[in-house]
Amino acid sequence: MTWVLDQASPFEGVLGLRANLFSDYQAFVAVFREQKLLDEELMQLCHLRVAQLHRCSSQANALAGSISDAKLSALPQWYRAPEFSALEKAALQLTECFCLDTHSISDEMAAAVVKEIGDRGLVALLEFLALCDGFVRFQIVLQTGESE
Amino acid sequence: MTGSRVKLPENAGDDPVSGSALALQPEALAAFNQLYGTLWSRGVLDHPSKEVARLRNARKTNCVFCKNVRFSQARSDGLEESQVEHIRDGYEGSDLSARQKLILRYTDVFLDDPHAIDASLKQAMRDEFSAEEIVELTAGLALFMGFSKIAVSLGGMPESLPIFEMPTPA
Repeated sequence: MTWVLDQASPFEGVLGLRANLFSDYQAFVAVFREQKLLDEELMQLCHLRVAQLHRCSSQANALAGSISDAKLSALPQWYRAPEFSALEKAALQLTECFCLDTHSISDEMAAAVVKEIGDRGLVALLEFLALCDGFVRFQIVLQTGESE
Repeated sequence: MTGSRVKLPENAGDDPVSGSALALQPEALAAFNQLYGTLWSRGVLDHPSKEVARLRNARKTNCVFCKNVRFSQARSDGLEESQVEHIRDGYEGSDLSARQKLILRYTDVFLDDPHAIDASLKQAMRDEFSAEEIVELTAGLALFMGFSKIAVSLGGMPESLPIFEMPTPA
C-alpha cells in the first residue's frame, strides 16, 4: 500500500497523480523500443538485474517472465555463465556498477560495451539504466504496487 | 580530468546538455528534455524545494557538473547560495528550514536505501507536502540521480568547475 495515498495503487496510479509528468515519462520510455535503441532482451535483462539489486520483488517478478529459465537462474553469477553473450556480460557489469557505485565504472568497462554496440549504444544503455535505477527506487520508496 | 568514454557528436549543441554525448541519441535527448522541462516548469512543487533535492543528489553522487549548476528560477524564488552551502553532511545542525531538512532526509533515504523509509519520515512528508508534490519530488530524484550517474559514467568531466547559473529547463 502506498503511503502517499493510503491505499493500494500500482506504479502507474501513483506517478499518474502528476498526469503530464507520467505522460512524458511514458514517451521517454517508449523511445527506447520505438527507435530500437537497444535490443529488447538486453533491456529486459538489465532492468531485471536492477530490480534484483534493489530487492524490488514486484518488478523482478514482473520482468522474470521475459527471460529464459536458463538465463534467469544464471543471472546472479552472470560473469561465469556461458548463457550470456559478451554484450550481455559487458552490459550487466555496467548495470551493477551503475546502480551500486557509479564511480567504479572504469574505462575498460565502458570500452567493453562500446566494442559491442558502439558509442551510441553505450549512451542508450546508460540512459536506460538511469530510468531503471531511478524508477525502481521510486517504486520502493513510495511502496507502489506490491514492492513491499 | 578523466577522458571522455565516447566521441562527442558533430551535431552536438552549444549548451552543457545538448553539447554532451547525450546528443548521440537525439530522439532520447528530445524525450528527456521534454520530461525534464515538465518536471521543472510545468509542475506543482516549488522550484527551491526541487533544487535542494537536486543539489543534495549532486553532492552525494559527486557529479562535478551537477554540483556547480544553479537553476535560475530557484534562485529567483529565493534559494540563496548561503543556504546551498549547507546542503552537505551535517545539515541537520544547520539553519536550513525544517522543510529543507525534511527534503534532505528524504533525498538521503532515496539515494542510500529506499527500503529504509520509516513511519516518521512518511508522516512528516505527508504533513508537509501534498500527494502530488511528493510524487513530483520523488520523480525528480529519480531523474536527478539517474542523469548525474550518466554524466559520471561517460567521463570527460573536469576535476572542478566554477558555480554557474543556467536557465531552468522548460
